Amino acid sequence: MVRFFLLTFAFLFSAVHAHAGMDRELKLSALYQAVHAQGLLRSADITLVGITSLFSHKETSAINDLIIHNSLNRHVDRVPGLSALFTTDVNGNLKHDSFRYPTRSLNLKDRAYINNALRLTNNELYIGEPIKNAIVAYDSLPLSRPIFNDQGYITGVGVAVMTPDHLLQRTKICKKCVVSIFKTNGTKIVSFPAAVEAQPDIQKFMADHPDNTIVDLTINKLPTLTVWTQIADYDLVLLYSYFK
Amino acid sequence: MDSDMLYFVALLLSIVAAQSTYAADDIRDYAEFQAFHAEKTIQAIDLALLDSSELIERNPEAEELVLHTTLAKYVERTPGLRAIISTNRTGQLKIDSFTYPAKDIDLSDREYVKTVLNAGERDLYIGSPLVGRSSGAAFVPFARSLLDSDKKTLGAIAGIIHPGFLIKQDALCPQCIVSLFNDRNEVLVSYPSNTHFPGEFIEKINALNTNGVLKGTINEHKIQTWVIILKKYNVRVSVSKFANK
Repeated sequence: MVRFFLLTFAFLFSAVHAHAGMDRELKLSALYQAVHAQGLLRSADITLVGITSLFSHKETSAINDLIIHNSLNRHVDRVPGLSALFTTDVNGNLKHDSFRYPTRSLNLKDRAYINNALRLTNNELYIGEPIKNAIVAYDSLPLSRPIFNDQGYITGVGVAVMTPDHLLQRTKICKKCVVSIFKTNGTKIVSFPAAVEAQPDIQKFMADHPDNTIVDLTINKLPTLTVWTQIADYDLVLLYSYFK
Repeated sequence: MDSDMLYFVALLLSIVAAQSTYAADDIRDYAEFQAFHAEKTIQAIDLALLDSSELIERNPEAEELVLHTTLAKYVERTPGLRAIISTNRTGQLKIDSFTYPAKDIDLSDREYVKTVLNAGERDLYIGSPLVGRSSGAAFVPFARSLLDSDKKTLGAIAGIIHPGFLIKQDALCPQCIVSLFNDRNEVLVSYPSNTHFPGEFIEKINALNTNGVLKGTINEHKIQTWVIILKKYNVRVSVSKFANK
């Protein structure tokens, strides 16, 4: 009888411990991915502050285009996950491009990341939605901010292009886990594994459960432990599920 | 000892063993997370300062208002960065993201200004924690030298950092202490903020060459500490937990 009691006790004790350990691991894993994504976005953001400030000043127009092209490339090299930097004038015409020199004649007026950047105030960032890239076979995530001149008028847009896959640190994701980043409006930015289809409605999940809290959730008839966390500075959320 | 007793002892031992393994994993996971968070925060500040220094180096004679405005934008977009200041080669304050026009102050006696004015290269220097002489608030200066294309010193640039941003307080084990140390045995920041580490404890942390666990006592209480070294910045991040009695 005593043995039975002790065994039960030990079993419960280890179960509680295992659960606590799993909760901790999941919560920290989600936070880790959020810090990683935020770090990359922050670097692109800071780079765009510099690029748009540079083109705010009249003196910049006197700088040789090739020097600017090379300077944009130095910035691209410095920031992991960043694949290109370019600027347009207020009408969406491509002005400077890290990708190609001399700059192609291209009008980007109809792109959402140009239109939305033109509506921002001075020191804000617009995060676009992943675009299927026609030239290279992977998605691009555009980030943009307006260029203001010394008088405060918008004279163009600065754009940074990231590869959204880099926002997740894959080596740190467990084999039975699925991680996704969404905009707070519900649009998915990236997930790993990339092909994952079944996912909860992120906005409903956020409304029903507090952040950084492990929830027992059934996804596609499979039991999971799931947690969401904010990447608050960039209006993004990260969803992390462990399939039991 | 009868068999029941033996059984009981074995059971207890296994529970204790399970618990201590759990505790070590526990603080290691938290230490790794805190170190990652600190590293990403420092990286962003480092990048903002590097971009800012290139802006000034490109045209040191640019209008002060233009530079002030741009530096203020970097500050606004970089968490933990409270202000960016720059001096000329004699240590006179020239640009201040916080105040325009910059006050007429000589900063040449400040340790972080002195260090980078004599550095001759652009490496980031993480200074000692200080209390602002005018603001009265605690800060850590992150500084680097401004150089011209011939590597001649133009001045110093420094970020005034709110060290609390280097720690993520809401992702810490209960009853744990997280701290960041520089390589001069100084606490950059810790949470809870009034934690007092005996000098020899910090020296032990700084003596470690690799990430790892450190056992010791503080005020006669046993304490277990995980230390993660951020090599690039010469900063050590520790998470400590008092051992269960």
